[in-house]
Amino acid sequence: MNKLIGAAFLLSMMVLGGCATTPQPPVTLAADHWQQPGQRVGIYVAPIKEPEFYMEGDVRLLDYAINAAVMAPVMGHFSSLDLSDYTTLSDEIRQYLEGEGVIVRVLAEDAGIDDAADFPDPNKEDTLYFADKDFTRLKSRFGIDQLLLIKPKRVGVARPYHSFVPLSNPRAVFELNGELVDLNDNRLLWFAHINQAQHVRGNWDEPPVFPGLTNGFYAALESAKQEVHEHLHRRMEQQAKVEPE
Amino acid sequence: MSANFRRMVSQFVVPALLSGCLLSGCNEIRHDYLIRQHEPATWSGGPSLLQIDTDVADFVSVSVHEDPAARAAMSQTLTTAYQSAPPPAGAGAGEVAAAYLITTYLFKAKADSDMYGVARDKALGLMSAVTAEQRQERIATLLRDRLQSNKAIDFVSEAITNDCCVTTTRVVPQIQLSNDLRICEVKLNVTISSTATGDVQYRNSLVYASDPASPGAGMAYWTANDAERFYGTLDAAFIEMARMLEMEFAVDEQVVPIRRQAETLRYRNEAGTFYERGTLLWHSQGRIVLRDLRGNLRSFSGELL
Repeated sequence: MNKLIGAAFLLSMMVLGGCATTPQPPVTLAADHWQQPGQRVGIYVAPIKEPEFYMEGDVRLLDYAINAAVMAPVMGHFSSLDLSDYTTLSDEIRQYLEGEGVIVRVLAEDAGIDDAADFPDPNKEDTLYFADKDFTRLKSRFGIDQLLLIKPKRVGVARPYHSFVPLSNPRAVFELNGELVDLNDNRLLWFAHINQAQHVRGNWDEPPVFPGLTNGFYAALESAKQEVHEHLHRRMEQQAKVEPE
Repeated sequence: MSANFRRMVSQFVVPALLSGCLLSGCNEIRHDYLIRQHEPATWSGGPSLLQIDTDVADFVSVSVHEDPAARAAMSQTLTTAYQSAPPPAGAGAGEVAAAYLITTYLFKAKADSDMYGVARDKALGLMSAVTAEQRQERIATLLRDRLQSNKAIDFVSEAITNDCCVTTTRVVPQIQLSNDLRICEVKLNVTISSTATGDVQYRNSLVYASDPASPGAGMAYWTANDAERFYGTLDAAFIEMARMLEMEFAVDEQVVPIRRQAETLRYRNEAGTFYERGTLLWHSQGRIVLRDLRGNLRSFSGELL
């Protein structure tokens, strides 16, 4: 009985603790960042295992099962989608950075990014932010000074519910976190939460291949990629704005 | 009915029903805005019949605008409402669930009604520009002339007649403005079937999206000068669609798809940057034509990026 109470207490603390997590504020990349010569950057674009289904709103355990069953045909189709447009992101970033004179190394899945230890922020009150994992050991292992990390957060289909009553049509979502970490001290040089969503134009419930939702998914994916590029290319855009004057 | 259930109905359902009715004006969600009582016009075109049907629901509309944040917030509002007024002691689980469901559906119906109501109000200006009489005379005649003068129907009937039979081509136009009123989208649902048996030989939709109007131009942009721009857009759409139909049935080097694999195309026009997945068929002079994932042919304004 004591164990049961203990487990319930632990679970409730975890849930409450999750609610207390402060989201990382955005960190803007310095406009002249890529102008510094001799930079060595490792790029890691974390893979997407499979697009998922996200229920928003007040959904309980039984509702979860009902809603998941209703959306199973959609997610069955989404699990078969070609995600090569996403996996090319690391190559696209590499090409851009090499064009800027940066020495680039694309890191593979076995680089140990996911296994890195937690890194507590030494001072949570200031505006100097750090990566939540300790990546500093990658500096000597791969001979790089910075790590450019793209992490998928919510990729797939989202739908708001109250219990098992859907409050709206499903929409395609593609959310990423992008960060550039200084491997000397694990400091964040850039952080952005990229959140792209697309509603279906017309009817969404078109089994078996759900063309409207599928189109929305790829549109959200491309929009997210484009936003990553816009963040990293900021210097170029700012220069272009200055040139006409 | 138990006393508890009656109390719950008075506590949850009646206030929700009343507020829903008051706020929405008891709006009914309707899609058919215009009078629908006439026979489709039919013309004989050689071995094939062309039938133009403007008698459809949603002939003229404005697209609705979903707000996902508002929908998610609605779920939280409902939860808070239930928590602040818990069911009376002794209420059965079934009664609680019934009250819970009815209230939720009422909230959802209210939100849907609001969303469609806004779109319906926006469509009023367009509806006055496209009266039932004009649909019959001006639009149907314009469409028939464009399809026949471009020989699209002859082309189609020849292609199908050789393989099959004498055919009837039924076309059903629909018009929708974007929610910001900047883009007019003309859709043509085309069905070609055997005149004798009615067996469908071909069915598809062609979609033409106009060049975007300036931001904030509003409905006046489309309805000014006896809706000159609106009818000009329809004319341009029908010309383009005749070409798309020819392309659909032609075996011609000029219309072989530029790319054969579906891809996500990125393009830009005056309204912004957009993405569309499909097979690129052609692009020239600021127009892009693709076959989308539904298999529909879409023509829209923009330059590929």
